[in-house]
Amino acid sequence: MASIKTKQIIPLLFVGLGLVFAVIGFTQLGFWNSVDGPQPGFFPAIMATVMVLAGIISFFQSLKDDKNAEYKLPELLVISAGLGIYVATFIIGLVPTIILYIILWLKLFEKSSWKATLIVLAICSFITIVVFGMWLGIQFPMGLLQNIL
Amino acid sequence: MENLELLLRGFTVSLTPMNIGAAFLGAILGLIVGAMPGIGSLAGVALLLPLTYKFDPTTAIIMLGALYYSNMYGGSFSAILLNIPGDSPAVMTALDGYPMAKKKKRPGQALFTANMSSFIGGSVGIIILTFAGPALANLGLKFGPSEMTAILLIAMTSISWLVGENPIKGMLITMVGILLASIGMDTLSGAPRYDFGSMYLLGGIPFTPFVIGTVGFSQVISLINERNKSSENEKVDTKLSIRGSLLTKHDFRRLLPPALRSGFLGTFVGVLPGAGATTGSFMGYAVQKKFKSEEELGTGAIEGIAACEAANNAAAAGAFAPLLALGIPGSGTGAVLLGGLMLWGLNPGPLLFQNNPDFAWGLISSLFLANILTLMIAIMVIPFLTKILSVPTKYMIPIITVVCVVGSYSTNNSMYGVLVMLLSGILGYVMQKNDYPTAPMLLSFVLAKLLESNMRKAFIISGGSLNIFFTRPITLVLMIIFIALIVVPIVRSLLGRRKKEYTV
Repeated sequence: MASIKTKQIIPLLFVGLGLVFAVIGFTQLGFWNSVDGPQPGFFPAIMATVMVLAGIISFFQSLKDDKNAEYKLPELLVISAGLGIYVATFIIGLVPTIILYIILWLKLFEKSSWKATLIVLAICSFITIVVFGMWLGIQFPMGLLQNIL
Repeated sequence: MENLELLLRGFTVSLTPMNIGAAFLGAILGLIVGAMPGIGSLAGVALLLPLTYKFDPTTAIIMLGALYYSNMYGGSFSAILLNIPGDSPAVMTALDGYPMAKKKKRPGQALFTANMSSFIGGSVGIIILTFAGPALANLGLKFGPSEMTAILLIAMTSISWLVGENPIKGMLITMVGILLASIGMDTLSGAPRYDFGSMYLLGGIPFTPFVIGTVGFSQVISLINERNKSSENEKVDTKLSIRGSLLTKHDFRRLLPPALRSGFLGTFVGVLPGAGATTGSFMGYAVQKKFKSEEELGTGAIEGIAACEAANNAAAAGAFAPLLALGIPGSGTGAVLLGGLMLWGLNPGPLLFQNNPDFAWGLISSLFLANILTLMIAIMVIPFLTKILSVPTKYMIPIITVVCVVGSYSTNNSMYGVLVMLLSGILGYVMQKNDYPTAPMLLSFVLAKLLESNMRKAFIISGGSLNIFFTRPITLVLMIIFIALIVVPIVRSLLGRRKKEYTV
């Protein structure tokens, strides 16, 4: 997969983030009051300023760095799976989403056997339902399924 | 003597069936997590944090403390048998552990050496903690806002300087942690800030999902590339037994001096902010090179395994001293433990030993208990290690993902926690890819509010003058250290560059 020059982009993003925090800190939250002393914006504004300066230095350092970060497709699949779990939970609920995720992941992506899939499913069901659901008393979201039921 | 009496009182807390059970569970989980290549103590403690909500704070920290501690034992297993360190402190163990297991055909003895050295080093560390912890807390009682500001600045600077190769990146990622922690309510006035109109952001970024994502989910993303290596793991076909793994008297005589020496060295390293078990292990091995070993280090020498294993366990114990006495964690894992303590309503710091002696001494005594329990379990699991280490990584990926999702949801029964976990996981992954260490971000995220409140109080006391940081003796010494921590690496880097140009 083609490499992206995130080594240069990241310091610039940090500079941008630092500027936002600094501007809000200095202008909206208040920096210093002659009676009360430091205001809510005092500390984050100073830190954001340091971040902007460090970001600029880091950007110039990154220009000398020839190596680029490489992002592989399977890594992006893990992220997609995580986001998929998040979205699907609102539709079918958390527990069914987890079951579906394990089966799809192990059968379609990893091409695992049914035996291995069911063992992993049993371990995850134990953790989710017994440990978190029954022992810790967590009420899992049921999504739109709740309305239908 | 007073410390010993308090320690005995601590044993009455830690030796309840519930706490023994928690230490036992923590020790087993720590060994497993430590033995699994690529997970490590930081992710292990982060993933298990939600499980402890059911316990009272003392039981919870006893379990997490035992887990962190036994993780150091577990890390050596895969290093010795597979030449794949379970976590970073075990990197040095592989140098002698693997050759001893393969070339010398003594895998059981290599494991036994690692276990015994971990026990000796850990015992030295815990004994020193018993005496140094309260002494450090007494010193901490003399600290006002200016001293606390200076020491927190040192803690944050040293970890960003020590972890990773590029101090600027360390500083940048430290600032990210501080700014993320400043979202929500202002520490002193309670005024909302940086909420951008979001109800969720008004409550701040929840600690547990943030940590689970940064270290747990980002680890899963990285593990995906390791999943095909499981076939190598399956090659472990050596059958081990406890009897066949016992050390001879001669082996034990070789093990003892380096283990004791590294125990003292590792404890000292563990107390330093930012140094931690990995630095302890590296230093233990480096120091052993200066001493005589029966065999050359790197060829499967018992002394090599003993030096680094004793040092990393001692460092893990030593790290509890600044954590409990000053409320300053020495590593990423320490930061997660501190975050957990804060979630349970405890404020680690100089007053902890006075206000919550049962908790502080219960924890210290539980480390003794965990050390013995872990040694026993570590020896008993030797025959089953080949099976534990043969679990393919591809099955660990969905299991850890599920723990990440469910654990972050359970923090406040909200999908907001899952969203924070996913986003911080992506952030941690991108940071790792671009050589930004994530430990400084966690440390600064936990310490930011403490630093801010102390810094602002110091400025209120001084009427806005910076003199407060340079006129009080303790603050002055600490500020000199802080400035040196910033200036020395820059000067060294400039001198190094000039030298390079000169030689070219």
